[in-house]
Amino acid sequence: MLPDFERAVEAFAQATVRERSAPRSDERDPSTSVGRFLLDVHARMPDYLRLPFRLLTLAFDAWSLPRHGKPFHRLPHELRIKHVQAWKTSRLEPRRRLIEFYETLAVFSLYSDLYGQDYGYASEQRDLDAGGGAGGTARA
Amino acid sequence: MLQSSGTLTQAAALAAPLAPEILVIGSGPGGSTTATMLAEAGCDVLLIEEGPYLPLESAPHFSREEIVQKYRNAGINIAFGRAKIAFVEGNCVGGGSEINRGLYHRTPEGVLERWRREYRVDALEEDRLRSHFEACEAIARVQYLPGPAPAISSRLQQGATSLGWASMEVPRLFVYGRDWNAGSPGRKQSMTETFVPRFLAAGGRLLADARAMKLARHGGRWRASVEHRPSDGPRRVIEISAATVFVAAGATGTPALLRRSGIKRNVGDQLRFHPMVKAVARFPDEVNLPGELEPVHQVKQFDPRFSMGCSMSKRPALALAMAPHPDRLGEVDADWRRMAIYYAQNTGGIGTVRPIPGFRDPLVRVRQTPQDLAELAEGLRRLCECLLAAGAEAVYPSLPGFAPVRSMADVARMPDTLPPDRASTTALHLFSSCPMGEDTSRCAADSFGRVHGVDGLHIADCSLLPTPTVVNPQGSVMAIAHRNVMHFLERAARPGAARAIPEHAAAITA
Repeated sequence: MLPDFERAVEAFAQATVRERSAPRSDERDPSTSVGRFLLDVHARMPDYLRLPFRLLTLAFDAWSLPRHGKPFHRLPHELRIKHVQAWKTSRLEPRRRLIEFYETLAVFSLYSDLYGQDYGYASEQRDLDAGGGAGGTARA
Repeated sequence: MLQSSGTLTQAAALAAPLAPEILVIGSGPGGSTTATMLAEAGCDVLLIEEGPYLPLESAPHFSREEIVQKYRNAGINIAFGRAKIAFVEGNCVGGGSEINRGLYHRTPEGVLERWRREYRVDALEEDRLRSHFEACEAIARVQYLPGPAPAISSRLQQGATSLGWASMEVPRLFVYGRDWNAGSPGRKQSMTETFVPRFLAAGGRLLADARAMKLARHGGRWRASVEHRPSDGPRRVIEISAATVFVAAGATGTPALLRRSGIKRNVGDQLRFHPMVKAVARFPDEVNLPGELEPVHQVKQFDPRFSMGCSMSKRPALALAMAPHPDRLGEVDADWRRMAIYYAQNTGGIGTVRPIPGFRDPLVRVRQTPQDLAELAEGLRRLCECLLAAGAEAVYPSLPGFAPVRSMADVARMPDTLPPDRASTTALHLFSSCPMGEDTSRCAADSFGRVHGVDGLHIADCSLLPTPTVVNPQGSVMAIAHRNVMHFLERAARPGAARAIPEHAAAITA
């Protein structure tokens, strides 16, 4: 029931992927790779921004507690979308920026999945890359 | 990770004190060029790089995998100010050369003249620099297109031609294949393809995943505290001792390292950029075809105020560029083959780089003047005009709040300036944070990159270039680094010194 940074980010990725029904190259659910990308980027962003983004994300996750009794990551899809929309159109700039940040990266990641479909790049290679992070595609 | 002869494993890095004659910090175009020439002259050189050593094709260009693997901070770098600039730097062996498109220019004479006049840079005439450009081009492999330009490129050229504007094909650091038009376009060139293998072959040693945290001078030698974070072992801090250090950690990394080391005079005070605004053009026919070569044309009519060119336009990039128009993202799905990204860029904005105590990454701030933003807005209007003239049926400025442009009447209605809070510019080129020249009131290093007033310490990257190059800077960075290291070797080879200089270098410096 408590706010959780990783779960909040993964839930955001799931909500974005479901909202954007981009044509898929296969039947895999891209939410996992999109969520992983968002977490990867957070882990690598400038260190002085990392904690503020983490705290803001936790605040985003907790914001639904008073009204729905659950954090964002436990909400059903429809309520997640309303919650995202409320922050996206908030008068407070940090809220809008947070959503803009995650949404832009999530869309970019989602469309990166289409690379193979468009340009014949091997999907097995993409899996290796995503799984192994910076060293995942090492060539001996 | 790549492991070639000359690369140091973690065990080797930790086994014995590292005490090379020369330490080069950073392996981008400036650092790799410097390290290679030194190694080929017979120097004992250790090249360290903060990022990993990966093959050029470890991830497709501009994919999320490449961003995570090779971009500094996964591409999340912001110069803060009223009008922010998001910027990109490489963070791997080869630096920016691994992630850029490899478009290549020599430094325009007007820019060199300004550096000589305003910063008092000695011996920087075009004819004196020519041999250094030629030497780098021979190693880095610069080629023009072997045939007709790809459609994305030729559309920009057609638009410019119909308006009577000057445009040009820009050569690339690329080796085009014999069957370039039959599915084998050839191979992009970068430092890991060219200079780094030469450096290793000449006996140079390379340590990747190694970030220099601080430099200190002890007993006539430099001591670098280096954080080594290999993928195959734990994080360790190692000490490297060297008689001479060349710092080439990039336009933000170099001033951050120098300032952390107490070297602050004219360091990190005038970071410059090529801020860029983008627009997505949708054409009535297909222009964005898989298998086509990368676009290479640029519009030069308005240089040096602003210039225009083509961007990488694969579908993830299109989705990103259309982010300010979320309700039209479906057009990317339906029409991406008819869409392409173009840019307008100027030379505006002056920034600072300051380390933050307790943090790894420096704080970068920027100030863009109203004139800078008005110039970019004019660049965007001209770009829309050019794309409409090229036959685009709609142009989507990649800026929040900007409506699609479908006619010259729409162009006339575009704002005269970019609102600072919506300017949303990006920069791929950064420079000038430690300018070179004899004017000690504004320069961090002398005309050949030696840090003013400090023994045995040199700068060898884009930080040295006193102002923006107006054109893609990699050629300038390599040639200036080559010139400066040849000057260093020439001085070292004078009577009484024990150093020989490479045969090809001797011809250049003679």
